[in-house]
Amino acid sequence: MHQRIPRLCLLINHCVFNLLGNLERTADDSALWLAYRNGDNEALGVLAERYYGALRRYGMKFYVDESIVEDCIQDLFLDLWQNRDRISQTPSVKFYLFKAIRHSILGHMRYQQRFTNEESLDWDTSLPENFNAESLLIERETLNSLVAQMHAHMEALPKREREALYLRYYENMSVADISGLMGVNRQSVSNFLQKGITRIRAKWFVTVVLNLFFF
Amino acid sequence: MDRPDYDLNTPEDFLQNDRFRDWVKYRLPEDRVFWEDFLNTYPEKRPVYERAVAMLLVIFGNEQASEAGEGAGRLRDMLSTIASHTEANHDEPLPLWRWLRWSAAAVLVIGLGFWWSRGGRQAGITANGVEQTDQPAQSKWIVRENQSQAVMLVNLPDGSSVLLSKGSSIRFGKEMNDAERDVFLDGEGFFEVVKNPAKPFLVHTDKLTTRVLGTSFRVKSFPGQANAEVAVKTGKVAVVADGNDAADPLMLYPNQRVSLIRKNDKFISSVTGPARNETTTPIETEFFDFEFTPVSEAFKTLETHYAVKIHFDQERMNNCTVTASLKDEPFLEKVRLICLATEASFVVNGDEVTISGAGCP
Repeated sequence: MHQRIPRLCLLINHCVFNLLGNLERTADDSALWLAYRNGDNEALGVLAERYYGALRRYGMKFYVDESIVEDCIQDLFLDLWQNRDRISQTPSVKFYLFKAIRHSILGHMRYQQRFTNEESLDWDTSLPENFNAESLLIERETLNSLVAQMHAHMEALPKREREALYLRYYENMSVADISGLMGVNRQSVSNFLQKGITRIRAKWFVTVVLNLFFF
Repeated sequence: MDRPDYDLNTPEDFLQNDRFRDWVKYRLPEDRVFWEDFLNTYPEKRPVYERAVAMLLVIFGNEQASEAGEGAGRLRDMLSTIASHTEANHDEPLPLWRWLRWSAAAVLVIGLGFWWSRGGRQAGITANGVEQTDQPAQSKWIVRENQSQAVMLVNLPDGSSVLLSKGSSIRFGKEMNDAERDVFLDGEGFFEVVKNPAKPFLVHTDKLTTRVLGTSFRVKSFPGQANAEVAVKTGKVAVVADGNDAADPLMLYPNQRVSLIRKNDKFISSVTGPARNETTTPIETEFFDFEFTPVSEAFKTLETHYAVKIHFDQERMNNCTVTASLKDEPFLEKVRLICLATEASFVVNGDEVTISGAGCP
């Protein structure tokens, strides 16, 4: 760390970081991105740590082996480091990283000839083995049966709609980011989301009525 | 942006609510108090709440959270290792590596990490082969070094072949009649190994050892580079790291590769996708698939990939065609099989091959 300070101080940004001590861990994405682009590998490390889990989770949804996903992530960050001089500032680091990892996973699948177009792209909808209903203030049997119904509807959705739903509601992404990430226009993403939600709950009333007979 | 809680009427309302999503995602105790209170205040909204929870759980899907933290830490360490390597220039000789165990077929090993190579050379890392070239008198060994700008074909005593990249050298036994077929490589080579399960074929470099029974693969490990990669072309491969015996072997399948990156004094490895196009050599993507291919064309393919000159009687062999898939065969075996098919014979002299045959009807 000490060795690095004189070099980093050539750049005012780094001096700011060093003077403020451990700002890095809490710094926002764009500040870290700027620091990284100016040669601060720790800033990139913080970003890597921050997004590793999300990128891994996202990558594995495409039914790609976890070791491959992990290596795509590793390569992504190594590439970022090597090409730091050529990387520009980005309005959303998260979007940038997701877009990059999607690209590299699709590249991998194309290489393995598992990918021909967006339609051939898979999306994992398997459920967690135990989602601990009590911790969500719901009776276990109730939640189990609800999840099973929703899951059946979800399975019937086109895969890209499932991906859009995931990005919107799990990753909290904007419609604009999702459209950029998936390479479809915003209106389509809105439609995906709207249709997806509608379809997941479509047969709810029928199910309720049926349940009245059973319970 | 969030609606006040009394305005949550449909599952969509819940889904749009950041606080609700965070609750389902993280289940923090402080949020629990809030939602408990909410459900007590609006008991009529419980069914909608429950459905919204179920929808979110389905959208979120399986967690797969295991080991994510470990991977993140590893990546972070790796990034700091890279920087300290580029900055500090304190390379010490790399530990020798024995770790690969192959089950079958084609494997290639590629080294990345060009940013290390300069530092490594300055630090004076010398690997086996380089030292050996200084002692050509060693009678047991043959050393071949490629100082040209193109690839160079080296035929090994056991019939296997190596395409040596520029700036690379290889050392091997004159007879290769030991229990194992050992070759020592500095740099990069594409190997096609004669199958012989009784005699494992080992490629030693300063960082890793590649062990096969008979297949084709590429090894690239320039002295001073701190990392390397192993990629599989066909078949599957088991990789075992040295000093990591307790761990399960890493299984590599076609088009996968493993990256090895030096961290502290150990290598860390991880399996990844296809070898990158810029690091693969043309021969790795050439299948040597001939189907009624004129023999002149087949020879031309061999000439291109093995940097050799093949002499043959163009006119006489005009009608000869080859139908064969010679993906994994060593160079000499390829030539032998083509000659067999065309009833010809051949003589090898350095990088020149002379074919003589009566021709085909």
